Amino acid sequence: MFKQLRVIPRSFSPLRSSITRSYHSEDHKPFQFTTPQTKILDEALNLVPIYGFQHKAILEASRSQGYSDAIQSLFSNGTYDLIHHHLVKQRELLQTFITTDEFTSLKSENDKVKFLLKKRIMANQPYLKHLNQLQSYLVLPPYFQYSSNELHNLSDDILHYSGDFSNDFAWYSKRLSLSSTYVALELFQSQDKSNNSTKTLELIDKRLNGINELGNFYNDAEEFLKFSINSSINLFKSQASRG
Amino acid sequence: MLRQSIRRSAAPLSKITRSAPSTQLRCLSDLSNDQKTTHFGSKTVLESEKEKLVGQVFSSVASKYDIMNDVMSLGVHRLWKDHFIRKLDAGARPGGRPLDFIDVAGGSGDIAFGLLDHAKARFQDDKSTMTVVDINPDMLKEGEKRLLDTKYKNDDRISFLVQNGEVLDQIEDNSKDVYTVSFGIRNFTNIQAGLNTAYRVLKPGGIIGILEFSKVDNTVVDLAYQNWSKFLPVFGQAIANDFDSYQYLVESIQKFPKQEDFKSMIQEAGFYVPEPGYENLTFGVAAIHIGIKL
Repeated sequence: MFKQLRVIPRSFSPLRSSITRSYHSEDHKPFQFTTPQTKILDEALNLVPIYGFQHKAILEASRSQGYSDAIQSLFSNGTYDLIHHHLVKQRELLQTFITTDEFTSLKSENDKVKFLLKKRIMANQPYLKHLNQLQSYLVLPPYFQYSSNELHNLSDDILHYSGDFSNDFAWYSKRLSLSSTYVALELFQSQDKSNNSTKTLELIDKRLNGINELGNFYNDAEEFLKFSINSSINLFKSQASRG
Repeated sequence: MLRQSIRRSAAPLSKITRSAPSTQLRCLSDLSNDQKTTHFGSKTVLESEKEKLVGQVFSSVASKYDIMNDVMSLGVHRLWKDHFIRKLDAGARPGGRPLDFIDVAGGSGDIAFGLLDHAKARFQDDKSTMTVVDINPDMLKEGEKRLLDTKYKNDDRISFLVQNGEVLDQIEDNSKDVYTVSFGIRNFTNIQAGLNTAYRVLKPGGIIGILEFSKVDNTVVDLAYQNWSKFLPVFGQAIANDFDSYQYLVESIQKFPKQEDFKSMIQEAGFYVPEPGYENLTFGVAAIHIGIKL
């Protein structure tokens, strides 16, 4: 009933996206790691600790691979191309964890979500100093749509890999709450002065327990509402049949 | 009155096109090269004649090229060209070596000057060179005339060359960094040969940017566009006193391959085409294609 209409960029282009109807994350098109752009952008990510999330990182990366400056035409969105590459790449890399024993030995869905969320948050670690810069680009009006799509893809992937089989309105509420949690965690991480972001990791546990409780609350509320509606209908029926 | 005038101006060109056997000649394998046919608008002409016919069209429209483009596209072609230049974002960044640009079929100079302006404004690049080539000396003269009104009039970074874009015999292999062709490639007799030549002249890592009319992807807009196209030759007659040339321009747009097919042709030439391969402008009335020589 609640079919999802999600915009999945085949590769990032602000002016053109493909629209595909999908229900689960298997429909995400595999990320191409070997195109000339991704090779340059991968190298650029290595340079982010030096130059920050700036076009300069792409420029130096392409020069180090022997390209002339003409190749910059591939990156007409400038810095955002680099940021988007980082987001997509780290999301795709989550797949490498789901086959590990550490992941498969986890029992509950909530533990799996926590595990993947921690992995994703820790992937920001090399760029910690420049995380604020990244976040400010994500909310710029020209890119906001693509950032929020990518955020949704992230929460969709995490929940799907964790074995979420909800097919009612909980599908939306889970993803929305995970997305908002992720944003809050990343903001916290950018200000986290603790060693190896340990405070952020602690916060993940706290927040996700909260989400779990929220899920229980939602289920209870739904059950109560169904019961109330049914009772009202039955009451109405019984009154009507008595004339 | 208008119809008579149209007929009069159409006469010389229709004489040429009539002289070319039309339906009997098809691209059969047993025909020799000089008997092969191609399209000239909606007509079928000998391949060997198309170059001459296109030359006549552009000689005829050269002096009123811009005003006609404005009328035909309601001024939107300026936006497309601006966007094309911004999308390419070409120019030597500080600390990089100067780039060598080539603008093919760029007689009017719009793109050439625009690219240099962009490189200077964005990257302080005043070292990169620009070669403007066009098969048509009249169009090229028009560009040289316009050069005098720009800040590049005494700048030896810009050179003009009469060259067939399919051959570019005066341009060395692996000598250019950025190859652009804007609203020109559909007039090539052999578009694939033009793309192959672009691949030849570009250095590895060089980029090809093509701005060309394309196929509208929205049925309603397409209906409006097709009807608008019918009036273009009439505007051509009214403004430039030339019905047939503008009739050809409209028909050549209709004959040009659609986005996906053209993307395949660029790949066929050897270029790597980044996804999604092209960008539609104004619902696909025009499209920008980009490729890289790896």
